[in-house]
Amino acid sequence: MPQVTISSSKGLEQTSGSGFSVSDVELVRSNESITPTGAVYTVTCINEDAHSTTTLLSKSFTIYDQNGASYGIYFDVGATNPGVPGAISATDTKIEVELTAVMTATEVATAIAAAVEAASAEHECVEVAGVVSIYVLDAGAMTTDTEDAGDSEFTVTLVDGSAGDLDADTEASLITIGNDVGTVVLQSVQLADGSSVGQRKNVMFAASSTSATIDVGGNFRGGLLLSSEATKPGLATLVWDGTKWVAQTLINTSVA
Amino acid sequence: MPKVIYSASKGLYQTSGSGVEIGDVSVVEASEDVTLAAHTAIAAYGNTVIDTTLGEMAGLTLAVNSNVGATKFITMSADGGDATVTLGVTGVRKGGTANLASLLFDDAGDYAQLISDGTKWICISATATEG
Repeated sequence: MPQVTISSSKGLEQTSGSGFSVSDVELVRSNESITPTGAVYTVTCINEDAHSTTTLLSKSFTIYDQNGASYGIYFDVGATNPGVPGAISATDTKIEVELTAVMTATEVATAIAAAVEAASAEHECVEVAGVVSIYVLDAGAMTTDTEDAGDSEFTVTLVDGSAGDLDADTEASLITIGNDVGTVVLQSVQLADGSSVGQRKNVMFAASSTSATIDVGGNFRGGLLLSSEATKPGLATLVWDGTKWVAQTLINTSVA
Repeated sequence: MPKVIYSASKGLYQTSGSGVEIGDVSVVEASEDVTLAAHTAIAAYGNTVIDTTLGEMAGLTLAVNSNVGATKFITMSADGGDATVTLGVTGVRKGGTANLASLLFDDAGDYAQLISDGTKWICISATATEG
């Protein structure tokens, strides 16, 4: 029977016997480092003045979640209740923003942020000086990357997200959170099923100053999400049992 | 794409597919024996077996391994005195706090298992005392 030995002096050699051993050199395992980010809309608002042409009454703009579902955001001013404007698609999730007759851009932005956060579990908002940053909470490139300001006269720009899936066949993955906003609470990446019983997967989370949670979706014994607090370094050592990932060690992480 | 397979019957061979598959046997990683009281740096990979029959070892050090996912296993085989391994970069305790500075081995059988995130060691499991 052949025995394989890897050494710094002889490299890879095969002799009689059995076994596979690595002596005096390191066995480097496959690894990856990823920084998944979700897309970010930047919405620059204008004042609301119901007595002029800049009124936002019945105007709208559209955003999307990472999977391509659309969200039509429209305005009512002074409880006029004009209904959903025709520019918004019937398939949109409809988000109404209530405004008063005269509001500054900052006040309009604050109202938008509150309405979007209340209506959408897929977005998180931060408002600063009349500009709303709408964070798409699922990491990865947008399925629909349209920038749709509608007739709102706002400026709507989109910075796309980056890939957020872990390679199940890479033995170790280091995840670093990609957004630097303290209020972002969810970043979702995916871990595919393993291919062989006993396959090992080490998932590590780099600590950051952002008070967020990183979720890894997949088939885990005990749940569908592996979660880690972004402010603490986290580790999950996993083994594929043929059907699910079994967590052997969890440090600052949990499965639910 | 090529796949590399080891089996006890065929040895090492290459076939179509992808990956490295070791069948029939376990993969034995590099292992070092540390027996001299004056020993300092231990390898930043593989296994280290500490034997303090000749006296305590207070100056052992473990550097960072920059390979994400690298593992390290340290164990004390014989207790003739305490052995202290000081980490080159503060790591993470098995409880999750990021202030692991050293590992104290003071009984035969004490061990520590660590994994690297590329910048520091994370203690997965240990009977050695975390300091």
